[in-house]
Parts: sequence; C-alpha cells; structure tokens
Amino acid sequence: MPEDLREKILAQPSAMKEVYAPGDHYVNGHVMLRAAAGWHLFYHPMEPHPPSNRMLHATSPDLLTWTLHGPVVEGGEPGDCDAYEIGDCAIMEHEGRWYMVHQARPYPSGSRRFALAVSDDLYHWDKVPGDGSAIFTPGPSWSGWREAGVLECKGPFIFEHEGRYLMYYSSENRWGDSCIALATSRDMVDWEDEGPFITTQRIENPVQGPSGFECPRVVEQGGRYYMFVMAFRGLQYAVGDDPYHFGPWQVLGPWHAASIFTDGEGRWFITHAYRPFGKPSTMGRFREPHKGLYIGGLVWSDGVPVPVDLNDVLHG
Amino acid sequence: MSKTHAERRKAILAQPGAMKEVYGPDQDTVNPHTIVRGPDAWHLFYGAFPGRHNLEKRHATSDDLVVWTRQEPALLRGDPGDCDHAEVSEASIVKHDGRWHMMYACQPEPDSSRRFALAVSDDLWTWEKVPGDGSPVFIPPRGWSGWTEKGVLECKDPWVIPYEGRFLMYFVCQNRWGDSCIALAESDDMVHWEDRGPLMVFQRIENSMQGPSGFEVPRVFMHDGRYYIFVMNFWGLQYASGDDPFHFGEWTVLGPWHGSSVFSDEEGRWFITHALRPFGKPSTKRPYLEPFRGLCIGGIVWSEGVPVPVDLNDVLEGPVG
Repeated sequence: MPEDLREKILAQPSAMKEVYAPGDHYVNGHVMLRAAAGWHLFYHPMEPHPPSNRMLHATSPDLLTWTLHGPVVEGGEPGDCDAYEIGDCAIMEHEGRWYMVHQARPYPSGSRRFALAVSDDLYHWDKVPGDGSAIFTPGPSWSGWREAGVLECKGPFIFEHEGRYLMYYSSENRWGDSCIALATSRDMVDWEDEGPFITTQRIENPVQGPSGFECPRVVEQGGRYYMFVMAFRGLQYAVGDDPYHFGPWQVLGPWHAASIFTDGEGRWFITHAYRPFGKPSTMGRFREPHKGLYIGGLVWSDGVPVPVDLNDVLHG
Repeated sequence: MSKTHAERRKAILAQPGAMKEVYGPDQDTVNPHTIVRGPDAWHLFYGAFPGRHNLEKRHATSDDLVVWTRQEPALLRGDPGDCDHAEVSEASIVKHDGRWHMMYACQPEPDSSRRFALAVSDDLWTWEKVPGDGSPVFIPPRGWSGWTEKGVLECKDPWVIPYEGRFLMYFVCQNRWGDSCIALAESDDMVHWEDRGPLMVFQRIENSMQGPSGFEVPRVFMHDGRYYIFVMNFWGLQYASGDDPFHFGEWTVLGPWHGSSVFSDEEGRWFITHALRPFGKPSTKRPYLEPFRGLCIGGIVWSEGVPVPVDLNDVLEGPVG
C-alpha cells in the first residue's frame, strides 16, 4: 500500500508533488526536519475557523508517505500567551534537546509574540518557562509593538551561526512597513532583540492583498548565505557572504510558505503549502480550495537555486 | 477501455498542481507551441522533438482547452533546397484579410542559420506555403545581427501582433557581439517585412547547469490598455509592461516555466502554459533534461495590472467562495 501511494505521488505531472493532504484541515506554515528516526513535519493547521491553537506533528520515512501523530503543543489556559493562537514555529537542537519557538496570541486582538516548548524526542513537548508567558516580543521602540492590536511578530526561523542562534522573523517597523527582524541567543531561551534588518515598503492590490514578508528561511550553501522569503511576488531569495547582509531579491516562483531544506546527504528540497501556487493569499475570491503540502527538488548551479521535479532529486 | 471526454476532463482538473498537464506524454511531447482560437475549436500547433530538429508542425485540437485530440501534422518540411527542409520550428499565427498567417522559423540544412517562412490557411487545418518557391520571407540584416547563411545564428521564436493597421513581429536574435536580443520587424501584409533592429539586448550570463542565458519565446499582448511582454530567460518566465508596444519597464520574474504562452479567450479568461519540462528543469544540460513532458495550462488573473498565476480550475470554473 505505501509503495502504491509512493508511485502515485511520484507520478503526479507537476514538478512539486502533493505528498500530504490530511483532509479535514490544511497545512500552512511548516517546518521539516530530519532526526534519527526519519522526517518530522511540524505545522500550523488551517481549519474551517482559523486561527487554530495547536501545533501538529507528522512523520515520514521517505518524505512521501506521512503519518499524523496529533498535536504536540496546544493552546494554554485563558490568560496564557498562547490561549488563542499557536502559529508558525522554528525548531533547533541545542545541547541534546529540541527547542521550538512558535508564534502565539493570547486573545483575538492580542499582538503576536513568541513562546517556547522543549522536547527530548520530538514527540513530547513541555512549555518553557511553563507559566503561560512568552519568551520574546519585539522592542517597542523600533517596532511600535504593544500588547494588543495584532502587531506582527510571526514566522520565526532559527539558524545557528558561530556559536549563536540567529532568529529571523516577520515584523513591522513603527511606520507599519513589513520587515524581517533579527534576534540572537546562546541558549534558545533568552533572546536579544537586534532590530529590523530588511524592510519593504507596503504595496497592495485587490486580488493579492497587502504585501509583507512571511516565512523567512536562511540556508548556507557553498560558503554563501541564502535568504528565502515570501513577499508580494511570490517566493524570492537573496544571497550574501554572511547571514546579516543580503543582495538584491530574485523571484523564484509563486509559492506559499515555502521551506528549503537538505537531507544532509547533499539533496535539497523545496516545499509549498496551503494553496496551489499562485493562489493569491489573502483575498476572498481566490482563497479556496486549500491544499496540503507539496515537495519538489532543488539543485544548485553556480550558486543559483533551481527548482526541479522531486523525482530528479530523489532518484537522480 | 478508453475514457470518455468527461472522465478525461475530470481527471485532468483533479491534478494537484495549479497548472494541469492537459496534453501528455502518452499523446506527444510538446516544446514550442502556439494556441489559437479558431471558428471550430482551439488549435494547438507545436514542435515535439526536443534536442533535435522538428521536421513538421504538429497539430492538436480541443473544445475546452482541457481535453485535446491529436491531429495530422499541419505543415511538413519542404524539399531539399527549400528554406524549411531541415527544420520547421516555433510559429506565430495571426489573422489577416480573412486568412490565417503562420510565421515560422526554419532551416534549409542542419547547419544553416535560422530564418522565417510563411504559410497561409483558410481554416487552420490546411496550410499553403507562401510565396511557395521554397524561399523565406525574413532574414535579419547582417549589419546589426552578424547573421550569416551558415553557423546557426539565431533568428527564432517569432511573435506577431496587429498594431495600428500594421503587424509587429518580435523575434529572438543576437547582436553581432553574440548577445541575445528581442528584435522587431514590421509589415503591412505579413509577407514583406521591414527590419526595425533590436528592441532589447541582454548581456550573456551562463552557469554550469542552466547553460547560457538568452531570450526565448517572447509574447506581447495588450491587457487593459497596457502592453505586456512575457519572455523566457535565465531565471524563468519574466514579464515587463509599457504604455506602447515599443517600450517596456523593469522585468519581474513570474516563475520557472518553459516555453510559456499567455493568452485569453473571448470571455476574457486568461491562461498561461508551459511545456516540455516540469517547471524548473534546467533547460540545456544533462542530467536534468529528461523526461520530457506535454503541455500544461494554468489560469491567470489580473490584479491592478499584475498577472497572478492561479489554478486552471479558478479560471475555468470560477473561484470558490
């Protein structure tokens, strides 16, 4: 049966294959990581009445066939930082334990903030510090962040660099322009605000809605640093010699919430989720139907990331 | 047991990708192509053989853009000595004086430089070459292009639009220093063409997998009072727009698609195609060349002048909600 399913998935004509379509909910922002026992997918499910307040977990031996294990982190008690929403997360291994930073909201009009959970095995997670408090909010001086008003602090991504953890996330400056901001930590618990480091002026149109950075991802490849991020035109990327400076943006394709990751054996992958590509993301008429998780391959050619059919990467 | 039209349509529209493979490898491979709405059906004219010279212009038809039927080739190569004996390549079709005119790139011999020839039809099914003596109708001037009879210098991918009572032909060429360009020629009758030189020149870039850069398959059309040019280049399908068909602004990359056409139907619905390779297949180098594929079609919606690619279902069936 799994073999039939694998063949069916790999026979899909598009380059990115829909590998996971849970049925009663949809995959939006997600993290893919490889541990000893296989692949782990953590995602923010979109349900008929979003936002949701749980983080779901699924596993796969091969990136193609997935088993859903259910929620690993769920909304807290009224008054807790994550009572109303648990959203996109980043996961990093630190001193033998797994650390998950995820976006959270205490109530519908609350501004987003980041909370932390920790695990020894990726299946069981404990909230830290455990008293319902968040671990990070953007500095109010540059961001204008305040407790309520749904000010943005979302889509965290954590990258290890020279003994420190760099957390990139989407926020906004005090004039309302979207930015990718940075915070740093040595222990995954205490974070230092480093402010916004890339901003974009707001643009908007009736189908696509407002612009704004979402789901930044940083990878190192061939000694250079690549930042991928979703913005108005789709998934775009920029390249730098260090993880703090990136050159001009280049659009790759119209994908939603894409992750770029490697299996550690030289194979690279790219995902998108929630909508067939190009589904404008925020306005009513073109929102549905929502979809699952798609995976394609990525090959590097003299520093240029080139998306290819998943078969090309899995089977050479 | 072969599937009914309704079953084939349903299966195609259920594909999870936003662009649906509507004419697949079990029917034929599709590389350069043009889609024309005729009085009886949609007509697809295409070349099939990637990496080799196309020796005929292949033809398929559809009532709904989703289910396609392969037909007999529309155009065959000419006799030895004719301008199209060794290749019948990328074509553009427009209607003029009640007849369909197909401009196509061709080669008389495998090592010849490309040139353009013309064929004419009353019904999109039967084509007659014009002038009919085996000669081409357009060769770029040697002065700016360095074009020579041999050497496979580029003069390919014609795209013709009517404009203010005349025809503008955009095509891919190279300047005499070897840089890729989109060039322009003009005509009153589709037979006699005046060269207008390169419209845009692009400095060559190259990398190990994707091969050399260069414009391919330009498409120009008007939407809501503005002119758009879509063209394939190093980064994928890119577009620019302008107030007239001679000046275009900054390029924006849309996605990594191959050989795309953008077109609309009489109901104002817009479509985008790609062909031959799942998107992103780097186009010139092994090991990522194969397997080759057919024709994929998706939808385009316009949002304040921004073309937004969407699922084919959104355009054919209307969006949900």
